[in-house]
Order: sequence, then structure tokens, then C-alpha cells
Amino acid sequence: MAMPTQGAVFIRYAALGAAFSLCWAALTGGRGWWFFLPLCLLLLLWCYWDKLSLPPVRFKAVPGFLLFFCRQLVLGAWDVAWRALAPGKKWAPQWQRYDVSMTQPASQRLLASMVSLLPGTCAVNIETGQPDVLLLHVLDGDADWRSGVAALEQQLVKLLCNEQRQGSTL
Amino acid sequence: MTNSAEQLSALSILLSSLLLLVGLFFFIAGSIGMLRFPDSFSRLHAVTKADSLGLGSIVAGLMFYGDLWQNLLLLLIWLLVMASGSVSCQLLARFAKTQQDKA
Repeated sequence: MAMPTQGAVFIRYAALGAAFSLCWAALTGGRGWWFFLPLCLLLLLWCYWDKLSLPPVRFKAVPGFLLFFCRQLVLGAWDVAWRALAPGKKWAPQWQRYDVSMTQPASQRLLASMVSLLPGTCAVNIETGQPDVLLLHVLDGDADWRSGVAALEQQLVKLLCNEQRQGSTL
Repeated sequence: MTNSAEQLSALSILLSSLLLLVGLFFFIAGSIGMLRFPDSFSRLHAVTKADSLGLGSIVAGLMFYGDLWQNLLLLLIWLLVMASGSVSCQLLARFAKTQQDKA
């Protein structure tokens, strides 16, 4: 993988600083900046030393990803609401395994977190191996949960620069 | 909030009320799911998914009453709650699974 340039690194940490500032503003109502500024600096230094940063994204893929995610969020909530309110038992919980094709640990963790908002699936763990496996709790084992997870993974591969797209030579 | 309910058009009030009701519906459905679903893992489904959309709907409904800055903050709060909800769901499920495997 190519090393990011100094400019790219600066932009990445500036974006992280802006995200911290927005969170602070939301949580405190825009008060206490004198306390936040040194705290933000310390957080950014810690992120820099531990190589933590926002994953680089392909901006062209952002609108498609947001549309897909919002649709899945609505479908997921509707699915669980319907099962909760319908008369009779509309669930058949099962444990399932899903082979993850994404290679970066950060991308896999993002997939695991987002899967829990998809219809009928809840990620429990990522088991390392060849390939890595996502352990899922599925609300209805007979439902087609696999295509939803595969579609989310595909969207994340399109979105994240760290992941190699199938058929791409970059 | 800078705008009062009297300053909003009838359509805005209708849309806002509709969104608030949709949010309420998903919160109630999530709570019923918590009571009806058979195990802790299934209950996590109810809390994470229904409540995320429920809060999103309520935030969207409240946005009719706020100014731009307040709406941005509401949106950010929803995103934070959704992100922390999905991560904590995963962590709770992992903990419950470990306990289940030990037993």
C-alpha cells in the first residue's frame, strides 16, 4: 500500500479534530472550549502515535453508500418492529458464520458494527483465519440475511480506499 | 428553539407530527420486542435497530422547530447514539456469548 503524503496525513487529522470539535459542541452546547482545546490536542497526539485515524474514503462512493445505509436502516427497523408486534412467534434465532472478504482489521470492525443495523443480523465477533469469519446472531435463520451482509460489504469496499475492489488493479 | 409552533405552516406541523408518531411507534415496537423476544441476543436486535430509527424519526420531527445550528447538533446526536448503539450492541453480544460458552 502506498504511504500517504504529509498533506494527506494533515487533512486526515484535521478532519479528526473537526469531528472531535463537533462532538464536543453537541454534547456541551458549545461551552468549555478552553478545556476542550488542550484535550483535543492530546487526543490528536495520541491518535497520531497509535496510528489511529479516520479511514480514507472515496468521496464519489459516499452518496451511494448513504442511500444504501439509510434504506437498510429503515428495512432493519421495520423488520424487527414487525416481528415484535405480529401475533405468534415470527422468529427463529440462529448462529451463522459469514466469510469476510475485506482484509483490513479496521474495515472488518466497521462492517461488524454496521451489520447490527441491518435487517435481522447482529455481529458478535470476528474470528481470524483464512478467510476471517464474522460470527452473527440471526433473528430468523430462514430469511435471506446473507445477501444483505454481502451488499453492505460490497458498499464498504467501494467506499474505503484501503480495500481492493474486485477487478481493480489499483 | 427559535421558531414557535404558531409560525410553522400546517404542512410542517403535519409532517413533524407524523415523524414524531413514527418515532414513537418504533420505540414502542422495540420495547415490546425487548419483552417478547426469547433470548438476550434477540433482544439486542430490538433495541439497536428499532430505537435507532425511532430516534432518527423523532430528531427529524424536531428539526422543524429548530434553527440550522440546533438541527445540525440534533443530527450529530442521532449519529453518535446510532454509532454507540451499534458498537455497544456488538460488545454486549460478545460478552453474552462468552458467558454462554463458559456455562
